[in-house]
Amino acid sequence: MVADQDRQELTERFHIERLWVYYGNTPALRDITVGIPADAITALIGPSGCGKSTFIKVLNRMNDLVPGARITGTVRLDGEDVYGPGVDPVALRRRVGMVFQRPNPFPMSIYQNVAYGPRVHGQRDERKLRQIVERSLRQAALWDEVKDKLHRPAMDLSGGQQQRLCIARALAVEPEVLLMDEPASALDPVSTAKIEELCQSLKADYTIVIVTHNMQQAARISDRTIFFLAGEVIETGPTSSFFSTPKDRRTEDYITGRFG
Amino acid sequence: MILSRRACALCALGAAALGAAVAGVNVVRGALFALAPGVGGMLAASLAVVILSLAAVAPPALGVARERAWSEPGPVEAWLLLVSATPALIVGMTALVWFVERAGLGFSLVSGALGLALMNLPFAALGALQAVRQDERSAGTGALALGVPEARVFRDIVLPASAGALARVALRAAARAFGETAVLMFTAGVEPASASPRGLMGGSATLAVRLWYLTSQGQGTGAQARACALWLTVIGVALALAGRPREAPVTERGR
Repeated sequence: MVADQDRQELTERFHIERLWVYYGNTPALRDITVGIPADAITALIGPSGCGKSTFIKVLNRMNDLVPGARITGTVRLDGEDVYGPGVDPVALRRRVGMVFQRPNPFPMSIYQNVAYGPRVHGQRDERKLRQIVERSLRQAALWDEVKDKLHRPAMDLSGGQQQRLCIARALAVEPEVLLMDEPASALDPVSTAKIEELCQSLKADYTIVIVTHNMQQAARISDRTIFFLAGEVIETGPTSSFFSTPKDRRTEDYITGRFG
Repeated sequence: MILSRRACALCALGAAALGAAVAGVNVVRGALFALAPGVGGMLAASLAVVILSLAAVAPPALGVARERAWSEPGPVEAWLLLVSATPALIVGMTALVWFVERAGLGFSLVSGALGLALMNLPFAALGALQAVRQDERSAGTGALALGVPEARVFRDIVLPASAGALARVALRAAARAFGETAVLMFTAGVEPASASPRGLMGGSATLAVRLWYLTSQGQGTGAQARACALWLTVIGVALALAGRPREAPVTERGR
């Protein structure tokens, strides 16, 4: 575990420094300085409205689409400022994929849902597309359930299957980072368990940042945890020690259920 | 470059729709003369101006929706809302000056269609915007997160996902146009078409305009007025019912 921690500290995928995010004149994130380790799962926890989702959307500039949002500070991905001049947010989002709280499959077939991203990014070879679709669906632990109905509408899948399809869709464009904004909050316990297993299997190849309200889930699946409160990062550290020996009183109060 | 290609595609779509309408309208018109004796020409004129006006409104309305799909409602929407409340009489007189006189189109179905398009554009643009924004929160956002450009997301994901809602906006716009009188009496004229179709460049009273005219002449209880009222009611109500706003269909089991 010590070696694991060292590795995480040495290989930082994102480094965020003095980040402020405003919606209009209201600060949603205040002076955030934090790192996101590579090839590990980082859980963002905190009460509703504390800025977790805002933070995750800053990482792939989905916040650019939020009217009135502006940021100050720096967000570096592998040393490159993602808000720097000349950085194309469209290209950035290809590197930093995202899965949302509610499954949002496209109004097309299961196959087309997964093939859409690679096709838009230039992959025209149908044989290669089929390989990508199969690989992505296997990675998302969905292949066995849908391999015989790839051309059925994605909307026919159950909620848990739809969410795994959205994960497969994100994986198909081969991102380096996968952002997950409460991906299991709308799912039943069985589907939630599948998503958690999936996260564990993906972390060897992807940097995963997951927003969750479920502290048991954060403790089960993450390597590192960041606690947000009122737009500030209160505490961050390896998950094992974070939940057993929190350093800040507010963290302890939150994880013991005294508020939130 | 992407935007200009999209604009060209929308223009081509509009032109194709216009061409199809021009080609088909006279055939339909002849059939309607037989279907609705006494008011067939006016029924044909009503349908022609409605179809033409929709073809003229669709490209700019979709253009507004595409440009504003990811923006928060702001001055553009406020302006559209304001303009959509402009009295039809004022729109009609504006269309009279712009299309009938300055553009030299005279009292014709084309002038009438353009007048209706002027009236319906703010309404249709607002409706299209609402329709695409309903989807923008889900599938469209998912596509953006894949690193797909906004224009492509709009074309590939948002438009198909919003097709039902957009069709209902078009039907509501058609219902408004079908019963319109003020705009059309200034642009398409108040005289009914003769039994032989005169084409789109000829003027013709629509059902609503003819009904208004007959009523104003004290002939509101005559056979022709009753026939006009019947067709107006049946088609107008059918369009309004078909285009009524609906809740999102519960097709997504996961939601």
